[in-house]
This record gives sequence, C-alpha cells and structure tokens, in this order.
Amino acid sequence: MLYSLQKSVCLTLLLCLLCSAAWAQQAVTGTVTDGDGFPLTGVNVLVVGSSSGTVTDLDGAYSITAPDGSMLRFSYIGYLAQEIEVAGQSVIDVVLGNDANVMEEVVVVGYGSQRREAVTGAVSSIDAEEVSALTVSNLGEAIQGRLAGVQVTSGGSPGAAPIIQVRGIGSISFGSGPLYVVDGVPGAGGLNQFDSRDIQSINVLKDASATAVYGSRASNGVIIIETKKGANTDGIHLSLESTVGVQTQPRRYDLLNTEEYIRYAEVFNGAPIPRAIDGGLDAETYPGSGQSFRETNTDWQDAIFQTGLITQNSLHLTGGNDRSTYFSSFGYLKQEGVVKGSPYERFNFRINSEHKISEDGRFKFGQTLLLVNDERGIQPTLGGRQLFLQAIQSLPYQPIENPNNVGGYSGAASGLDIADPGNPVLAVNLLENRDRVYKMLGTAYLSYEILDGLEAQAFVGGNYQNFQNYNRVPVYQSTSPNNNNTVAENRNTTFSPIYRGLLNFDRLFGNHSINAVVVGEVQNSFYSPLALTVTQPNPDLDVLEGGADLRVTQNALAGNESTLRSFVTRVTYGFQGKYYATFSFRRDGSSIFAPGYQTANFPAGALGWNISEESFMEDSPFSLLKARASYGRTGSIGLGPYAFQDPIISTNGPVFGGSNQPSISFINSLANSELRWEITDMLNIGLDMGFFNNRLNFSMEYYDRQVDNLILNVALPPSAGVGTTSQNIGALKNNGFEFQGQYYGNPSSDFQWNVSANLSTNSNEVLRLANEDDVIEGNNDIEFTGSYNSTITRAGDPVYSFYGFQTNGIFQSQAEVDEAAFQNDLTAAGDLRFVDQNGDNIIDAADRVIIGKYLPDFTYGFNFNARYTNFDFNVFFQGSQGNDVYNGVGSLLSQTQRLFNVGTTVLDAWTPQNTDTDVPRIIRDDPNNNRRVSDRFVEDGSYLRLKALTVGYTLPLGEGGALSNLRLYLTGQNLVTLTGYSGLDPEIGGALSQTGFDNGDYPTARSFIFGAQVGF
Amino acid sequence: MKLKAIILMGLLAISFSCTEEDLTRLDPNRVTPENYFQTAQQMESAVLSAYSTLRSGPIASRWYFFINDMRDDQHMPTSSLTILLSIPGGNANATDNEMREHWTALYLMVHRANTALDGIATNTTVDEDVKNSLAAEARFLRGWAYNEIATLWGGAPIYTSRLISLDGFKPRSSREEVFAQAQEDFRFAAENLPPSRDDNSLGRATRWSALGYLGRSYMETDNLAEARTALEAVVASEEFSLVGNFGDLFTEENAFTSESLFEVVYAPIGDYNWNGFATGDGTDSKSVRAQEYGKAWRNVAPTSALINLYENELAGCDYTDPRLRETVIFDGDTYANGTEVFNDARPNSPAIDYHGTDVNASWYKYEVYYKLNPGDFYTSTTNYILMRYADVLLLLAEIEAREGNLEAAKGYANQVRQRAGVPDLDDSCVPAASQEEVIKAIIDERGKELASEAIRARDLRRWDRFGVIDAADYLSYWTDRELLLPIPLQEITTNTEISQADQNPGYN
Repeated sequence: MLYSLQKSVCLTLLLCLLCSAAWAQQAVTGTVTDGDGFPLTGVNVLVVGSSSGTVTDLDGAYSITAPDGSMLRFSYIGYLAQEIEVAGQSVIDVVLGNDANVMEEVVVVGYGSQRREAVTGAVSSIDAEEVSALTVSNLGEAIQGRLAGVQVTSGGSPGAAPIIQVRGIGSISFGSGPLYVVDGVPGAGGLNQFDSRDIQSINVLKDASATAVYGSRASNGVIIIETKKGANTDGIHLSLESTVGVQTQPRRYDLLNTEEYIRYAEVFNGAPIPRAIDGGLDAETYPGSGQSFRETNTDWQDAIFQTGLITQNSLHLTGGNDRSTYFSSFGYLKQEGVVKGSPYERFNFRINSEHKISEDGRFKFGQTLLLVNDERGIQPTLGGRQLFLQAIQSLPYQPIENPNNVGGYSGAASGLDIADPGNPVLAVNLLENRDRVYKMLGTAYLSYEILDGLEAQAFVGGNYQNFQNYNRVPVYQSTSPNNNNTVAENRNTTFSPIYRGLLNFDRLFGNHSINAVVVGEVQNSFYSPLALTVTQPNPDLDVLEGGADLRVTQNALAGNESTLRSFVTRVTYGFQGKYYATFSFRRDGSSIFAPGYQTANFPAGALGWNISEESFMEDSPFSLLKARASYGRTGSIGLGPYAFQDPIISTNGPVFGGSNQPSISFINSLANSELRWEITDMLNIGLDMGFFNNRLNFSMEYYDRQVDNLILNVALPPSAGVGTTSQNIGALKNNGFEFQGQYYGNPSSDFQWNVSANLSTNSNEVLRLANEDDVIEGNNDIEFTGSYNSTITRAGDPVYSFYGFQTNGIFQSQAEVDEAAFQNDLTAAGDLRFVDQNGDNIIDAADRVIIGKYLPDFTYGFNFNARYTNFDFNVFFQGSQGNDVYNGVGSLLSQTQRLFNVGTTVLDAWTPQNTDTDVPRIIRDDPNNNRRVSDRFVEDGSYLRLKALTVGYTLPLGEGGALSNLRLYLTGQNLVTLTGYSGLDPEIGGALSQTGFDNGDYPTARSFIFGAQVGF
Repeated sequence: MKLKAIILMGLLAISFSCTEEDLTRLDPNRVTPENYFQTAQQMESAVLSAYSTLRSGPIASRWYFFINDMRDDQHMPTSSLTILLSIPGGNANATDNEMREHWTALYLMVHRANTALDGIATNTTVDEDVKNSLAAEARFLRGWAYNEIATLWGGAPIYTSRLISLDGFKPRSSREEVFAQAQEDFRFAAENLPPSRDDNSLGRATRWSALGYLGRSYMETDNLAEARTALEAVVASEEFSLVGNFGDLFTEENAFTSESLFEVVYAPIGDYNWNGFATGDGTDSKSVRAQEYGKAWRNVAPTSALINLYENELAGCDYTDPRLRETVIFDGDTYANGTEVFNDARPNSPAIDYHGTDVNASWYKYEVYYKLNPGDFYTSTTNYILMRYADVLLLLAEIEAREGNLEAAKGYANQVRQRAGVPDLDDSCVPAASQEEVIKAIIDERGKELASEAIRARDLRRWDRFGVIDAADYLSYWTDRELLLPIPLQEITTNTEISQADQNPGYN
C-alpha cells in the first residue's frame, strides 16, 4: 500500500514537473516607508504562498520577481503588515503603519509556512531576540518559561539536556520529548549543538492538526527551529556579540562539623569509633600534616563548588544582493559550571545561503551547513555514587589531601572510621569523564516554480554526528584504592540522510484560497558504535594505544540502521478570509517494526473561523477574534531498531580448565513482534483575541490528549527467566489549558514597553496499564530510598507519582510501639510511626500510598521589556506551581543506617530526654528503616524564579564611524528563586522518570553577565 | 535553463522518493533462535551459558554462599551489608533484594538450559550422541538450579521449556514435584554425561557430578535408599579420592582435585565481575569470596559454635583437630608463611568464646593467608567447590548410621577423619557407641569437614525436617518457618498463577 502511494507521489511530482507551463512573471520594485516618510530597512517582502522573498535595503527599496496575479506581503516588526496584489504593476510603493501586533505574520508550520490568519492549529512562536536573551549552553534552557504548553526542566550542569515536555507526558516507557526539526531536518536534535544566537525563530507545533504532518514522530509536539538567513543588504554586515560572566551557587547543606560529627559518631556507634580511641583523633591526619584530625574541619561542599566562568561569543556575517544572500557565523561558548569537573565548551560554525539561479527567480537553490564541536565534562561518580552524595557524606575531620597517597588525596579507613565515603575532590580532579560531539548538519534544496503558486522542491539533508565519551581513572590511593590506570572510550557515529520531494501550491481564486502541499520523504539512520577499555600500564599515558587488557564492551559493536518512509499531504482551504479548513494526512512506514506492522496513517483536520472578519463584528471592540478547533492523530516510537526480534546474544562467559573461556550464547529477551507506534489522539480548541488594533492580544487553548498503545515493559515473573517484555498496552491522557497574552505600550512614545505572560496547566492521568491492578514502580536508589521504590505509575493517577509510607510522628515509648501496628522486631521508642493504611496491623509494602506528584499544576512565565531613549530593560520571571519534590538528599542527610556525615538535623534527634522533635533516634543500621520512602521527605517544589534581569545601553554613534552599532548590557540570570523547598534547588531534572527526585542534582547556577553587541 | 531545471528536479524526485526496497530490517548483528542451532558448537555455547549464570554474583560469586552460610550456626555477620541485615537470624523477608536476585538467577539458569534444550530438540542434523550429551549437561544445570530452588523455597514454578508467550506462566508446584524434576534431570544427566572432561573442559559437569547431586537431592527428600545407590556409584567409579592435605583443597594453586565432583571455576582473567553481576557474562573471572569472609571487607566471621565443635586438647581430647586452623584464624596467629601476624583489619565484631577464653576469629578456609597478606583488596582465583568427595562419603556415612549400619557408617566417616589427621571415631574423644552417638558424630563431622561450604544450613534444615535433630538446638531464633525462605514478593505480584496465599508459612 505504502509503495503504491509512494509511486503515485513520485508520479505526481514528475507529471507536474514535466507539464509545467510558464506563467507570466512580473518584476516588481518599489520602496517601503513608514508613516512619516522615512524609509524602512529590512522589511520582509514575500510572495504569498511561496518561499520567495526579499528584504528592503537601507533606502527602503526592494526588487522582487512575482507571478502576475500573486500577492506581495510586506511585513516588519512593529508595523501593520500589508498584502498587495501584483496585478500587473511593476512599481509598488508601500507605506506601513505602526502596529503593536508583533506576532509573526507568517507562521512556520511543517513543510511550509502559513499566514497567521489561516492557521487553524495551535502554534507558539518565539523570535531570535527572546531565544538569545540568556547566555545558556543548551537551547532548551533558552525557551524555558517563554512558550505556553512547553515545560522545560533544566538539567543543571553545563550542557546537560533539559527535559522538554510539550503538553504533558506522552509516554511511560520512553522519553517523551518533542521532535526537533532544524532547518527542515526532523530529528536533528541534540540541542546543545545549536548556538542560540544562530536561531531565527522557534515555532512549537502543539495540536494534532499542526503536528500530524510529522506523523509517527509527532505525538509529543514538534519544535521547528529555523536558523538565520541572509538578507539583501547593502554590503556586508559584520556583528559581534560577546558575553562574559560568572556563575555561582551560594546555597549549601547544613552538615555536621568535626566536633559535632565526633559526638554523633559515638552515639551512632554506641561507643567511640576506633579512630577516637587511644588519641587517634589527636594524631596527625597524615605524617607531616602538622594538624590533627580533631583540628581539621573540612568543608567538602566548598571544596567541590566553585565560581565558574561563562562566556558566549558570536561573530555574524550577513549579506547578499538581489540574487544571493548569505548568513555565516562563528560561535564560541565556554561554561565552567559551579561544580568542579563539569565544564562545557563549544565551537560552532555555520553558513546559510540562498540563491536565485534563474534571473526570473523561479529557480532557486539554498543551503545550510553547521559544523560544531563541543565537549562536556560529566560530573564524576566514585564507586557508583553521585558526587554530591560523597561531598555530604565525607568526614569533616578528614583533610582533603594526603600527599603520602598516590594521587595526593586522603581517604577514610573503613576500619578506623567505620565509614567509607569516597573523596569527592579526588573525583573532580583525578577522574576524567567527558562527552565530545563532532556534528555536521547540512541541507540543500533546489526549487522551481512551475506555475504561479505551484512550486516543486527537491531537498536533501544530512545529519552526521560523531560522539566520543572518554573516561579515565588513574591509579590513586584513597578510601578504596584504584590500582589500575584505566582508559575507556565509547565512540559512535550516527549518520542520518534525508531525501524529500515536495510540491507546494498556494493560490487565491476570488473568494477561495487554497494552500496545498504534497511530500514524499525518506529518512535513514545509520548508527555504528565502538567502545573499548584498556588498562594503561604507564601511569603517564592517558590514551588507549599501548594499553593492556584491551576489552570491548559487550554489545558496543552492534550497529543498526533504520528507515522511515513517508507520504505527506496537507490542504488548507479558505473562504473570504473568514472560514478555513485544513486536512492533513501522513502515512509512515518504519523499518523498526516487524513485517505486517510497519505502516500507519496519521490524519488530522481543523476548522478556523475569523469571527472578527464578519460584518456583524464591525463595531465590536475586537480587532481580532478567531476560533479554532482541531482533531487528529499522531504517533511516537521510543523503540530502537530490531525490537521485534528475539536475538541470540553471544559473549564470553565461564572459564573451564583454568583459562579456556569459550563463547556462550543465550536469549535474554521475550520479543513481541506485534509492537506498533504509541498513538496520540488530540482535540484542540483555541481562541485568539486582539484589541486596540492588536496591541493587546490574548490566546487560549484547551487540549485533550489521549495516548493509547503505550509500549510498556510488562514485568515477567522472575521465574520466567527473562525480566520483561514489551506490549502496546497502556493508555494515558493529558489535558490542560494554555494562556498567552501580550500588551504593547504606545509604540510612538519615547518610552516603549511591552509585557507578555503565559501560563499552562496540565493534568495527567494514567488510564490503563497491562493488567488492571498493575503498578510500575521505579526509581529505586538504595542510597536515597532505603530499598523501596519511590515512584508508582498506575491507572487513575498521574505517571511517576511519589509513592511511600505516611508517617505519624515518633514513638515516645515501648508501650506506644507495642500498641501500634507491627513494624519490626527492633522498632523502639524514637522510631517513626508509619500509618497502617490497610488496617492489617502490620506495616509492610502494602501500606504505601501516593504521597506526592512531581507534575506541576501549572507553569508560567512573565516577561517585561522596556526601552527609553538609549536604555533598554528586560525582566523575565518563570515558575512552577503545585509540584512536589522528593528530597532524596534530605533522606541522606538524616540517615543513620551507616556511618557517614549527615545534616545538622540529627543534632535534634529523639532521645528519651529530647522527645519534642520530629527527627527519629540515631540508631545504627536503622532497623526500623526510618529513612524509607515516606512523606517525611516530600516537599512542595513550587518556585518562582527571576530568570533574567537585563539592563542595556546603546551608545549613540555618529554616522561613518568604524562601528555602526554598540550596545552594552548587564544580565543577571536566576537571581532570585522564591521557594519553600529546603534543598539546594527546587528545579530537579535528570532522567524523565526521576524528575522531581532530588538525589543530589546539579543546582541551577546564578549568573552575572556582561555583554556587548557590536555592529561594524 | 528551464529544461535543465526540470530534468534535475525530475531526477532528484525519482531517486529520492521512489526507492522500492523492502522496509524490513533484520538485526545484522545477531541471529534468531530459529536460525541458530545448526551446529554442535552452537548448541554447546547455549549450554555453557548456564554455567555463566552459575558463577554470577547472585549465585556462586556472592549470594549463594551468603544465603546458605548465614543461615547456619557457624557464621555471624560483621557488617551492615544489606544481605547480612536480612538473611541471618531469621530476618528473611519477601522483599529482600538479594534473595530475590538469587531466585531470579537460578531461574535464569533454568531459562538458559531450556533455551539450549529447545534448540537441541529442533536440530535434526547433529549426531544424536552429541546432542544427548549436551542435553544431559543442560539438564544437569537445570536440575542443579531446581535442586537449589526446592531446597531454599520448597515448592516453586517448573519450566521445562523456554517461555515464549505471556500466557505461559507456571503456578507453584509442590516441594516434592520440584525435587522430582531436579532428580529426573540429574538421572538423565547421569546416564548421558561423559565420565570425565578433557583439560580444556574441566569444570563442566560429569556423570559423577550428576550422581553426587542426585544423592544430595534424594537426601533432601529423605529417599535414603536411592541416595545410597547414587552415591555408592560415585564411590564405585574409583574416579575420586580424598586429597592428602585438607588445606590444599582451598588454594588458588589447586583446582580440579581428585576430590572435586563439581566446582565453579575462577581464573586470573580481568577482575571481579561486577558488570556481569546478574548473569555472570563477560570476561571478568575473579572471585571476591576471600574478600567477603576475610581481609578487608570481612563481612562474615566464624562463631563460637564452630570453633568449639572441633575435637580439641582444650576440651579434654589428647589431640586437636588440625582442620580447626585450616578453617579459621585467630588474632595473633602468624600467616603468610609465618611472615605476618594476624590482626584483624575489621575489629567491629565481638570476641567469641573459645573453650573458655575470648578470641577474635576470622575465616581461613578459602582465604589466601596460607601464602600471603591479601592487603586491602584481593580478588582470588580459587575455584569454589560446590560438591566434593568428602561430602559423598559423609552422606553415605549418615545413610548407614540412620539405617543402623554403624560400622559401615564409621568406616565412611573414618576415611574423612584419617585424611584430616584425627583418630578414627572409636579411638577418638567423640562418643560413637550407640546409633544416636554415631549419628551425632556424623552430624558434627559434616560440620567440621564442610564448614563454610554452603552445606551446613541445608543439612540442619533437612535433619530437622526429617526428625534427625531439632534445629532449635542449633539456631536460637528457630521457628518452623525457617525451613524455607519466603517466595520473593516480585514473583507473587507478577506471576498471574501465584498469589499471596501461596506464600510459605510464617511469611507475609
């Protein structure tokens, strides 16, 4: 079926190409001025429905070739756009009137663009200025709080990918991030590798009618990123923007100091720890240190935190003439981070250009090319434990360094100290772990306007990425020594070429407008990995070459390839500019699935009604009133290739006869060959309103998103011999409202300002899992959860809800213990009383309940811009309300299971004398498991953050100087965070299923940045 | 120009959008089971994968010895390793991680053996004898796993082929049925396995491994006559003899001794297998057994009950059993060929009574103290013996004693005692006149000879179950629930054929 469809697409394309008959072309020139007669430079002049366009030069002049009978559209930010029919004219001069309506007039949608008034779906946009307002290494962070319906949770460390959710969580088993379409290449993501200052616009397609053209990958929204294009300017414009600043993280956990810790350790141990016997604490920390343990008071947090440099520099070259335009840029970003050992650095280079090959402008060529190289230090772990955990647990009486140890760092002695924390400073200084990406993303197209309004385009793109993880652990002595200098590299190469043929038709026939697109597309992906580990006998060498004991990581050689083949069409019909109907359809065929299950259809439809265009609305206060409704289907797939096959795995295994290690083979999966896409059906209702000539505008959306066929890992009984299998079995739903509003102050006064705000709600509910009473428990990290899972996903509740015990105070006496539900033989006074939810008089796993949710009730952003004479000012707030955080670190700070340093809360621990407290007794091994997952550690994670505060000054420069423009500015990022959360930072990123679980996440940094924009 | 453009666009459109190749992509890196079992070598590698799991962390490399040793009267926990908080002292709980991992890994052995057996059954080209021998090996390993499962948990699900669909879960069979499955597997293995292995295959099961385990399994179901038949066949084979020096059994240098029926092989390849913990897969082939019970982790220490069990001059004998100092080491002893004085690196355990005086004792068996100071971290390559000939002899001694053939019983026991360097029972300070005394002597002999070899705990339970002893005399926390471990909660919640009502008595 797919093949025949494909055939017909190709045939259509060919036919159209071959039967092309020339329609008259008309060369049009003119000037564009404002109401006062001054020429406007950089006005976009576009042939409606095509991608051909130009911009006005310094004198406001333009020249364009347009088909006779087509419309020219003149748009400029801050002015009312105009459309004028060419109708044989060769000179069209235009006067644009001021307008507050800064909404992009032309909205980039999948496989083309649409006039805002014809848009029937839910699309949010931000422009270059907003994208580059912050100095951040990841583009995702740049859009946080700016778009209704798009929730961004920062990853914290430099270059860490934030979690981005469009309209809630759309999957349980897989990350449900949106599809990124960069310069027309779907799946080009890896947002680290894009320089925020190269971005022209970001458009987020949210509802099904907008996203369905991306079909099987669009369930979680589509983010279309367009990079800057050249402009028909007078000569070459060179501009430079540099920011440099520092980042800090002033918050710390309150930990025991040496004196407090020694006291605590004795209580914990029931007797002085061996180190405290026979004057051990008064001995030198190491021979020659000249300082005793008792005199040492190490602040391990200060030892790993730092004030880090951040700088972003970009050089932009823009230029062109009426035939060719280009944009090229070079960028350099470096961010040291607020924790040692986590730097990020990026070099990027881009060249974009567009050329009219034929004089009439009908035959065009365009290309984009990005070359980028970045490197990111991964926060090291020691013994598999997070860095912050080590910093919290390290003993305050231990010095950081010990020159007598190989490597130079101290370590605890598990015999003497009873505690064995790793040395976090050793970790950040000696362990090397970094990711490096070399990426090339390029596209090229040829387009030809066959008939007026009918354009054919052939598009090729390629995304090549070389990823390298480098990991070295040198020889050192510390708490547990490392005797081998190991070097490991994990490399992989991904190459994804895309081929597309596209026909676009856009015409007005009297009252009727038709915009149609037909696309055939093939996208392949080739992946080939290699991972090696060696023991490097020479301690000075940090490379693989010459290493002994060369090992290939299991499964690290298995390359894969996949193909996605698609047919897409979309037709928008408009009547009198009042009524619009859109229908779109995509058919995808994917090689990921088994034969017979490879294709699926993704249709969508939408209606729009520009009520304000109706004659009965003439006297209404609305300058815009538009209602929209859409319904459609999209899909998503998180599975890798070959998931439908039950492969035989081969590797090494047991040894026989002393050294013979034959190959072994086995099956470790139970494959399901009937797997299919996860499917989203979404209803969207939208209302756009404008007042005062759109100076005040307001949009709201309601969506209802039903996700079905969710692929779930169905846990098999341990006796099955295989842990899990996958089935298309789950369902969930998201619904919510989105509000976005803007108001523009009087644009003609000296004091210009505007304010915008957005707010999104989302409510998530799991509708169905594999079996009625199934639960998916997750996120068990024994260091933080004390052997219980911390989240549950089950029908009727939101995904990944926090799940644990309810506490009810502290037992004050053995009598209270005896009277209460049985917890444990060793439960005693001073332990927590857990609530016996099922009333069976025994506290066990069945008494756990939902104790919180990490999903917020709503997220919001608020932005205020102002300009007065040469000064400009911006303030941007962003926040999240109604979400809980599980304070895993809090659990660590109060644990008494094993001896480590802990928080000062234990100083208030229950004792027979200190009974008025909510801190349980200090008891070695924590026999009552007081630190188990419970409501004790669930906190309100709502926050309001002053994300950015910028003050800028543009120097008045005379004509003819070396500089054409100079703006200086100061920005503070994350200056103030209002929250009730007791940890370092309420914004908890990490893996999606661990969102909101604070296991020592990298905190958001506060930045002070100075910047300069220079135009030459 | 226009013509060129048209041709160009047309060509691009055709080449880009009209590829007709099939979308189906099969994993080029791997084969599916339907296409796999073509050669004997392929079948063999499938069989060998079950040995990998046998040596995995949840079985022989860690949890097997903790779960078995820590439930006897001769070991005490000396750290807060989580398995030591749950398994000893009757604290087992259905949610215990390590116990579940042990159960899971045993079933992974079953799954891997079944995968091999299914594949062997579908092959029509390889010689039947070769297939039978490989099938026997797979069934031995499956039987081994079922024997452990039945010993630890009693009744359990029985799978005899690889699970290929979600509606094939098995309910809990009875303890007797699981043992019957193990015994059937062992019998098939005994009939079809080769009697010996070449040098490159030492460590793989032989006919005698199967017979030895068949004997042990029958002991668990109290079929003394069948056990005797199986074990006597091992003796009659004359393939086995006791190693001259008891201590030589547990050294890195000595592998595959004349006394070994079945052992897990460790080798100086890589490191300890943390990466392949759950499956045993991967090249790493060292063991942390020495580390676990000795310097420097010392998670486990011997008890007073053990060190006072040996015949001792301090207890009125005129000799001291040399096995005492081959099994434990005391603070102040010299070791590493007399170059070091033992001063336990982890003193956080109580001193224990040694015939009236307090001593600090550590394990010596399976440690490398015989030749060196292991320092802070030592991964050894000493093979871990799962069954040895002394066990066979002592099981035969027990059978004879319980059947009233006291002289035969003493004869078997004395073989073991002679090797150990202690007098025959009749000449010793162990009373061995009545049947009751001989049985007690053999119970103790097993405790002395096989200490810390993951046998004592199952012996105590087996004897209690069949009325030979009252386990409460040995384990202070004993209640009848201690006969079995709880079925892991995960099995109950995920297996649609098993409910909470199927849980072992005394557990929730």
